[in-house]
Amino acid sequence: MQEWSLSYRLGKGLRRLFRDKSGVMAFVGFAILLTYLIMAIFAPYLAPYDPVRRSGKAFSAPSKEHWFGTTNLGYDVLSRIIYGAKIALKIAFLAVAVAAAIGIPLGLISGYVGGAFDRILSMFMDAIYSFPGLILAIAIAAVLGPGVINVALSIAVIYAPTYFRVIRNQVASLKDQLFVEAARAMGARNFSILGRYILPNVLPSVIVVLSMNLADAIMTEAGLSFLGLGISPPTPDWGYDLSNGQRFLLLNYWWMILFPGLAIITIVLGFSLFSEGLNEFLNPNVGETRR
Amino acid sequence: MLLELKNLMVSYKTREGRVLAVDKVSLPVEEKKTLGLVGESGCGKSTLGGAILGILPRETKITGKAIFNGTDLISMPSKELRFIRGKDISMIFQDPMTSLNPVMKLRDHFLETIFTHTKTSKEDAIAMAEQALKEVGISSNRLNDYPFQLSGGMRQRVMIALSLVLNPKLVIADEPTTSLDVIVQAQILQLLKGLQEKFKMAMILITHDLGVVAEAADDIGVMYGGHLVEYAPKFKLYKDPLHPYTKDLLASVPNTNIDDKELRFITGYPPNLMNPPQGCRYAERCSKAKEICKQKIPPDFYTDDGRLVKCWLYGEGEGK
Repeated sequence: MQEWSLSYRLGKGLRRLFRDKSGVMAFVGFAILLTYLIMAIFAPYLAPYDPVRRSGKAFSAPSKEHWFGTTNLGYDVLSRIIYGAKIALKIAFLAVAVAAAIGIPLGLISGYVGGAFDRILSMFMDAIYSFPGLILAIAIAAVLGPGVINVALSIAVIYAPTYFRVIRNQVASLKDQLFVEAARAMGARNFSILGRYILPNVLPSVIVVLSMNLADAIMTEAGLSFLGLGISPPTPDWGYDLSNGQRFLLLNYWWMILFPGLAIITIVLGFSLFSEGLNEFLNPNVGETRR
Repeated sequence: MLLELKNLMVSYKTREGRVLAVDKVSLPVEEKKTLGLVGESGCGKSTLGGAILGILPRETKITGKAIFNGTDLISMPSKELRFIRGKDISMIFQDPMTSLNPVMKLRDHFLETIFTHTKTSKEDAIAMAEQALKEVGISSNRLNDYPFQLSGGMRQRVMIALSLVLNPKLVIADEPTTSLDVIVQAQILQLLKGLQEKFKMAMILITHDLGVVAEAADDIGVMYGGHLVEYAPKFKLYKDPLHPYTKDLLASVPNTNIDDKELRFITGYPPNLMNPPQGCRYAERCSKAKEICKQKIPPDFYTDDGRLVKCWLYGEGEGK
C-alpha cells in the first residue's frame, strides 16, 4: 500500500518532527553530533595531516595549506581538531557509560528496597553530588594519573549520583503504582519487577539525563586536560590545545585557541540541543508548563 | 473450607503511631463460594485482602492465621508465598487503568505470570493466554496490544483473564467494579460470577457497594472500623440483619418501593483508628448502645444458625 511505503512514512515522520521547535532543536543537535561522530570515526581519512607531526612552519596563520593554521610546534590545527573529536567522544561516552552502569542499578535497588539501605546510599551519593564537579574530578584524576580510562573514571564518579537520584526518586514513586502491586500479587519475582515493570518506565528520563551528561562530560574532560590532568600531550585533545594556545595568545596567534574553543562550544551545544529536544519529545508535559 | 482466617490482625506503621486496620477477624471462605466483604472506606476490607496475599508494605504487622488448604499463609516465608500468589490465589484490583504495566504488551503480562509458576513452552503459554482472553470475551489478536489501546472495561477483563489463567482456587477481587460505569459494572460482575462457576473457584469480593454483594455473594461479612461486625449467608443478612450497623446500612440504601422523601443516612463519622474507642467501634453512632458498649469491645457471638455478630445486644451477660 502507498501509505506504508518508506518514503511516505519518512516524510510524515519529518513533518511531525518539525511541527514544533523542540523537533527542530533535536534535529539541529543531532546534525551537529553526527558531524562530530563522522569526524571522529573517519579522522584518518578526513584529516589533511598527521596531528602529532610537524606539517609546516610553526605559528603559520590560517591559509590554503593549513585552514586553521599551525601550532607552536608546526602541527596542523584542523587535523588536531578532527582527531580531538575522537578523544573527546571516547572519553565522554566511556565516562557516561560507567556513570550510568553504577548509578542506574544502585538507584533501582535503593529506591525499591528503601529503608536504612536507601537512606545511607542516598546520603553518600548526595555527598558526592554536593562537591563542585570539576574539583572532585581534579582530585580523582590527580590520584589516578592521566590517560583515557582514568579521566573517564574520574568523570564517571561525578555523574553517577545524577543517575542515582533521578532513578531512585522515580522508582520510589513507581513501586507504589498499582501495576507493580498487581505484578507482586501475580507472584512475579523482585528481579523481574525491577527489570520489566519499573526500569522500562524510568528509561525515558534516563535517556535525557544521558545526553545531557555527555555535554557535561566533554566540558569536564576539556577542563581536566586544560589543567594538565587529562590526556598526556602530544595526543590531540581540545582541552590541552586550549591551554597550549592561551600561552601564545598575547602574540596574536588567535587561531591556536579559537578553533579548539569553537569545537568544544559546538559539540556541547549539539548535545544540549539534542537532549533538550529529546526531553520535550519524551516528556511532552515539560513543554506545556512553559508556555 | 478453603481458607480460614483466625484472629487476623493487621496494623500499619504511620508517623503518628500504629493503626490497627484489621482487628481480630475470624472468617471462613468456603470452596466454590463467594464471600462478600462490605464496609465503608477505611474499614479494613482491602487491607484484609492484601494481608492474605502478603502484599502489604513491609512495615505492616500481621498476626493471627490464614489457613489455606491446611497451611498458614501468614507465617509462610515470602519466598514460598510467592508461589501461591497468582497460582492458587490471585487478585483483581480496583483500578484497571493503572493495574497493567503501560510499557508491556498484554502477551507479556500473561507470559510473565505463566512462566513464573509453570514450566510451559512459549506456544502453550500463548495458547493459554488466548484461551483466557476468550473466556473474558476479548479477541485473541489483542494479545499484541499495549494496555493504553484498551478501554477501562476491557482492561478489567484482561486483569480477570490474567488472574484466571492459571486456574486459581481463590480469587480476591478488591473492588473490581468501583471505577467502571454502571453498565460495564454489571457485565464484569456477571462475567466474574460465570467464570467462578465454570472454573469452580472461591472468591472474596471486596466492595462498598451493597448492590454488588447482593447480586454476586453467597455469604457476606460486614466490616466496621477494623472489626468484622457481622457474618451471615446473604439472604439471612438482607432479610434479618442482626448488628445495628448492618441494619442502619441496609436502611440507608435508597429504596424505590417506599415513598421516601429524603435519603436516610447514619449520623456521625467512622471512628479514628489511630485512637480507637474503648468499646464497640460503632457505639458512638449506634441508637441502641448500652453502657457496656462504650466500655468493652464485644466478643464474636455466634447465633444458633451459625451467624456471627459482634454486638452486646446478642450476648447473654458479659464476656461470654
